[in-house]
Amino acid sequence: MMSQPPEGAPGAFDIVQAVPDARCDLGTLPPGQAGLLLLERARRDAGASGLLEVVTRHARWVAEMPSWARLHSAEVVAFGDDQTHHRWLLRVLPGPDVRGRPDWGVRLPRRAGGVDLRDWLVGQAGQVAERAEAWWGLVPRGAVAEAGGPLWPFTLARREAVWDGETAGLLEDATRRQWNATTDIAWDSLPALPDDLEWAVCQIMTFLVENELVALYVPAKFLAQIHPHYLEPVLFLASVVYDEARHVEVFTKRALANGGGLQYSSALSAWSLHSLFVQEDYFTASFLLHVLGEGTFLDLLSFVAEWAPDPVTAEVVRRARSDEQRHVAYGIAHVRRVLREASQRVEDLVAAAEARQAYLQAVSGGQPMMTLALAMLAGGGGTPAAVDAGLPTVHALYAEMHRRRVGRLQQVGLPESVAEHLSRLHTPNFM
Amino acid sequence: MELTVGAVAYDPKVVTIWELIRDVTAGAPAHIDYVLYSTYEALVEALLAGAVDLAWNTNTAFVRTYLRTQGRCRGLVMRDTDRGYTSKLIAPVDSGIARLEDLRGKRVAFGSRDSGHAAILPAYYLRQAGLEAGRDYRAVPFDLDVGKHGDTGASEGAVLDAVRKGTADVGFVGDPFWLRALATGTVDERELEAVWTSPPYSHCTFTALSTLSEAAAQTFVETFVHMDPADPRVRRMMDLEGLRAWVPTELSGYGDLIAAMSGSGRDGLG
Ligand SMILES: [Fe+2]
Ligand SMILES: [Fe+2]
Repeated sequence: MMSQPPEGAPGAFDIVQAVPDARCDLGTLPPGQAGLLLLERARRDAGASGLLEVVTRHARWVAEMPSWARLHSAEVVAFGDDQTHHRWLLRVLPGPDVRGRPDWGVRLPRRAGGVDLRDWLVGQAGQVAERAEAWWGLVPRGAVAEAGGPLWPFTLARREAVWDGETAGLLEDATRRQWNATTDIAWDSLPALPDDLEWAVCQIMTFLVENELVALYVPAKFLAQIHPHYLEPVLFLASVVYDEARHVEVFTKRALANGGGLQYSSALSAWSLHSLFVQEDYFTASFLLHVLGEGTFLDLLSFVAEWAPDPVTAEVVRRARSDEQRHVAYGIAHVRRVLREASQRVEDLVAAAEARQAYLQAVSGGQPMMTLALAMLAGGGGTPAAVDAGLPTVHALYAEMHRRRVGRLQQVGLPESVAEHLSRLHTPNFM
Repeated sequence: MELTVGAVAYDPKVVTIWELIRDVTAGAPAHIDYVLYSTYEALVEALLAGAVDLAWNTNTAFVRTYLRTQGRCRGLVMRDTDRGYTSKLIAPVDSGIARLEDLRGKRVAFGSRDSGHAAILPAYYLRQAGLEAGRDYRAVPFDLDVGKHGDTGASEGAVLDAVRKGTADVGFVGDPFWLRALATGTVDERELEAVWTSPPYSHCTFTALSTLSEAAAQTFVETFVHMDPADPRVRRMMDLEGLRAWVPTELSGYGDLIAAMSGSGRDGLG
C-alpha cells in the first residue's frame, strides 16, 4: 500500500498509479554491493525520464535510498511502506548513462548450416547508420552507448564508403573455406623435379610471396580505419588479411620444400607494390588491389596451376586462387556499388590508374626472371627449345589477362572504352 | 569574460579537472582560468584578498568566508551531488545503536576536524542532541589531510576501518563515501550499517564575494549549468569531480553549518 502523497506534492499519487518503466525488487537484501548493482541496471532500464519502481523488504534501505537517488540523478516521486515492504517510485533524470533502451526479445532466424551472418541484421543491431559517430567507438552496433567516452579516430565512418550488403555472404564463404597450409597440402607427394623446372617454380613462388604481402598490408591498413559500426567489412577484411597470410606461408613453403629456395625479386615488382602500398583512399585502393591486381592474379594462378610440373604446386596455387576469387568478388561488388551511387567517382579511378602508371614508367627493367620462369613452365623445361616453345603461351596469357581485365572493369560498371584504357595502363607486374 | 577561480589541489586529478574546465569554457561566455592552493584556508584568504574572482569551496570554506565577510558573499553553483548531502553514523550490524542519544559513553570516530560532513556537522548534531565530546562520548579523531576539509576521503576510510576493527564503536562519514564503499564492495553490509542519517545540507559551492558584479555572476552560472556531458571533455571532468550536472546554490543548505561554526571560534569539533 502506498501512503498518501506528502503535503505539497499534489499529483504524486496520480503518478504512483502510472506503470513504471522498470521495476527492481531487492527482496531481503540489505544495502550493499548486490542491491546497488541491481539498482544500477534498473535505473538504466527505466531510461531517461523513466519511472523506476523499487521494492524492498529490508528496512535499512529507507535511509539509503534518498542518498542513492541524489547521487544517481533520480528524484523520489513517491515513497510508501507497510509493515514489511518499502516501495519507492523514482524519476530517472536524463544522463550520459541513460540514453536509450537496448533490445530485448530479438532472435536470429535459423537456416540450414547454422546462424548465418546474412540473417543478422535484426533489431537495433541491424540498423546500419549513414554516418558513424566518433564517440561510438568500439560500442557494438545495437548496444546502448554511454555518452562522454573518448573520440575514436576512425576515418572511414560513412556507410556509403564501406558498407555493402554482399559482404556478409562473402564472409560466410571465407569462414567456410579456410584451409591449412601445413596439413591440407599433400606435401608428401611432392616429387623431385629437374633443376630447371624446380627453379621456375621457385622463381614464381618468390614473385607470388612478394605480391601476397602487399595484398596483406593494404587491407590491414584500411581495416584499421573503418569504424567498427560497419562490422561486416571489418570482419571480411580480417579474413582477407588471414587468407593472404596463408598464401605468403604456403608459397614460401613451396619455394623451400623441394631443394630449391627463394630466387630473384625485381625492382619493377618493388616499385609496383610500393605504389599500391602508399594508396590512401580506400575506394581507389580497393579498385587497384582487388579488381585490377587480384583480378589479374586469377589468370596468373590459373596459368601456373595448368602448367605446374607437380601436383603440390598445382594444389597450392589452386587453393590460393579460390580465396582470391572471393577477394575479387568483394572488390567488384564494392566498386560497383560506389559507382552506382556516385558515378563521378569514375574519374578518381582513372586518375589513380594514370598516376600509378606514370609513377611506374620511371622504373627501368621488366620482369625477365618471372617471364622466363613462366615460359619454362609452359615449355616444360629450361632448354633453349623449351623456353622458345613456352614463350608464345606466356604471351597468350598476357593477352588473356587483358581481355578478362576489361571484362571485370565492365562488370564494375565502366564503359568499354574506359575499361580498355585502364586495362592497358595496368602494371606489367600484374599486381 | 575571463574569470579566475581558485581551487584546492587535494589530489593530482585536480589539475586535470581544471585544465578540462579551462578548455571547455574557452569559447563560453565565461572563460575560466584557475589558480590552485594547497589548503582551503589559503584559498579563502585569496578570495578575501581579491586574488581570485571565485573560490571552489567546501561547505566549511564557504561558511568561513560567510562568517569572515558578515554574509557579504554568496554561493553561485554546485554539483547536483552537493545538494541534499548527508552524514551517516556507521555502526557494526546489530550494535543496538539507533539514535544519537545511544552514543553516550561510546568511542565515536570522526574524520578530519575541518571536514564539514565527517566532523563539524556530526559534532554539531550530537551537541543538538545534548552530547558533548569528552563529557558524554569519547571522540576518536582522524585528522588526516588537514586543510583539505575531508576532500581526500582518507579520514573517512580511517573511520570505517576503526569501526570495523573495533577501535571505535561508531563513526561518521559522508553519504557519497558510504554508498561508494557499499557499491564497490569495500564495505561488507553484513559487518557495518548506517544507523542514523543527518538532516540534508549543502556541500561544496563556487563562492563569490558581493563585490563580483551581478553580470559576471550570471555569466558564470550560465556557463556552468550549460555544460554538456555528451562532450567527452565535460564528461571526464564531471566523472573526476563527481557530478552529473551543475545546479544553482541556495544559501538555505548552509544553515546548520553556519550555526555550528558561528561563535565557536573553532573548526567545530568540541
Ligand atoms: Fe592472396
Ligand atoms: Fe587476395
